[in-house]
Order: sequence, then C-alpha cells, then structure tokens
Amino acid sequence: MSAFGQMMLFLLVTALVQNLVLTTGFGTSIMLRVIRRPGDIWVFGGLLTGFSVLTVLAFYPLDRLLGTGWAVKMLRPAVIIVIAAGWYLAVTLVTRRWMPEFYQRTHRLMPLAALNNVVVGIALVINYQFEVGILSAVGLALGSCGGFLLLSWLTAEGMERLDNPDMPHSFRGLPATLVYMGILALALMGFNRVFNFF
Amino acid sequence: MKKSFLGLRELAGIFLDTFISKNIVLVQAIGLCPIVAIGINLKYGVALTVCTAAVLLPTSLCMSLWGSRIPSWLRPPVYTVAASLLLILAALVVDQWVSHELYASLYLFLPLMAVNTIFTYRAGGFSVSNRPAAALVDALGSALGFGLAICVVSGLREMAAFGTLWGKPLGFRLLLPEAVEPFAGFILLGFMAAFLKWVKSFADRKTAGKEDPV
Repeated sequence: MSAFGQMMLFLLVTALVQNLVLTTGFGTSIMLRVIRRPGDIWVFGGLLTGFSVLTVLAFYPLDRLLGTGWAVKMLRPAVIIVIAAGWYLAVTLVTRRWMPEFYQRTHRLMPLAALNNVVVGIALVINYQFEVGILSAVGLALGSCGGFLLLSWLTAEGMERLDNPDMPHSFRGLPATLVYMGILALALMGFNRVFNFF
Repeated sequence: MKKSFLGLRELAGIFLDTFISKNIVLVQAIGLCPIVAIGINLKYGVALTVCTAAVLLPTSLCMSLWGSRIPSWLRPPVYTVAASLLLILAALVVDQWVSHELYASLYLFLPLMAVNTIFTYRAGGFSVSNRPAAALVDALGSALGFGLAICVVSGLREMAAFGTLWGKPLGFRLLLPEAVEPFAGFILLGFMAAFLKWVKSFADRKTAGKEDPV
C-alpha cells in the first residue's frame, strides 16, 4: 500500500471505527466541557486538529533522533508536552499580535486544545504502538481529531434527547451522558477484532 | 483578588466540596480519562492517585503563591510543563522503587496526568485565585476525590474481570473479561454519579424536612 493509502486508512479508521475517546478515554473530560456550548464544538475541533498535527509533525523527526534508551523513555512524554506547549505559545503570540479577533474568539479554548490528553496521547501512541511513516502519523492525528469532533456532535445531540422528564432525577445530566457514551463504546467494541490501534 | 484568611471550617468545606459533594470526577466530570482507560486494577488506581496527589499538591501551591504574577495566557504551559517534570520524578520512583511491571503498565497514562483536566481546572484555575491553604486543601480534596472514583471503579473492574482484588484471588466462578474495556468504565462512572446525586438529593430532602417540619 502506498504511503498516501496508508495515511487515508489510518485517517478513516481512527475517525470512524477506532474512536480515540471511546477506545482510550483520551479527551473525555475536555469533550464534556466543550459540548456545553455547541457553538464551540467546531472551533475547538479545528484548534485541536491543528495542534495535534503540528505536535506530531514536530515530534516525529525528533523521536527518531531520541532513540530508545531508558532515560529517553522517561523523558519522551515531557518532550511531547514541551513541544505542544511551544506550539501553544507560538500560536497565541502570533494571533494576539496579528489576528486579534480570532484570538478574542479562541483564547479561552486555545490552552484546552493545545495541552490535553488527545494531543499528547496521539504522539505517545504513535511512538508506542506503531512503526509508521510521517504521513500515516499525520493521518492518525487527523482521523483521531475527526473522530473526536464526530463524537462531540453525537454526544451533544444525545444529551438533548436525554434531557426529558421521563429520565429518573438521579440520572439526569452527567450520569446519563456517561452511560450513553458507554453504550457507544460498547457498540464500537465489535470493531476491535478487525482494527486495534489503541 | 484572593479571599482573606480562611478558618478551619471554610477549609473543611472546600475539602468536602471537591472530595464528595462536588466530586471532581462524578459531578465536575474532570479526570475521566485514566479511570476509563487504565482503571482496571486496584493497584493501578492507588498508584495513579498517589502520583496525582504528589504532583497536584506542589503545583497548586506554587500556582497559588506565584500564579497571579504570570499572565493568564502563559499560565497553562507553565503549570503543565512543571507537572510533567514532577511526573518524571514520580515515574522514576514507581519504576525504580515500586515495581517495573507497574511502571510498564502505566507508561502511557502516568505522564498524561500532566495534561489531565485536574491540573487545568484546579492548579490552573482554583489555586491561582485562592490562598495557599485553600489551594492545598482543594488539591488534596481533588486528588482524594479522584482517588475515590478510580479506586472504586478499578476494584469493581478487577473483581469482575479477573476475580481478584489487589492481586488476591477471591474465588469468583463467573468472570467478565470485558469489564476491562472502556465501555465498562463509562457505565460504572455513570451509575456512581447517579448514586452520588441520589444520596445528595436524599440528604437535601432530609435537611429541608428538619428546617421546615410543616
């Protein structure tokens, strides 16, 4: 399979079948916060995708140089976090200076989008689980964030339908949402036999 | 502006808030990732709780003391990088002095605690606008509240999936290996959150009944 074909495979599988939130729990808390304001879902999704891809692109060549020593294994996650923090600072400084309206709209979401389990987790998982090319790594990042966005929309829609007077009082809100996500995760579990990336 | 000196009663209130009545996991939906993903064994739950407390307490204290001097847009990378460095120390301790196997199992999730929402909302949020004592008590309540949720979920999933607790066999005949999958974590958390909500509404009704006997 060509490099582009592999990239598309990773992208489609992680977006549709191996949802990062439902198979690993990465980004669950962030997602539940973001969907409280449905208008933020797409903005946050875009920021998350951007930061994930940038972090993967920066970390991938560096990872090849770091090697696999014991000390490197300890330091690797911190290196990824520093890279993600660096991208956050760069984007913040640029948008504060040259795109103030964009910064006003996104400054609340930017630290959440840059420094979270999804961004760091994707880079860690690529290193831990796979021997892939850079295109496949980017495909995995794009697909994971696409899956996050899809699940955010599904959960926001589900929460609207779960908000009805027939729901027992104790289950209204977060409890019902968590059970709903559990059922979605159970539904995806069937695909784990075919694809098991995480 | 930071609140003035807090008495023991207010500090106890802050602790009980994040520990139980507004539990960090079951009410505020913070710190769900490690519970769902790796909360499958009581040892993992305890290890993550101890590491979270060991990192959250100093980070919250530092953010309370100096966080207000840092511009708000600069705070997130500061406390995140600080937490990740502390977690390297925690990982070293786990690997060298506790158990290599435990470290290997938690390799992915231990460093991810640095970007967990617990740090975002407690160290980066609450602690900055409160005094050090309140920040420390809140951090302790948050860590223990997280620990309560992850230990209960981990214990139940370990019993269901492996028939053991803390590695000790319990003699169960029926096992559910699927309990280690994330869906079980989500569903268990949902029921625990519902149970806590029920307990709180029951307590509120009793309090309301006592105040207004008519």
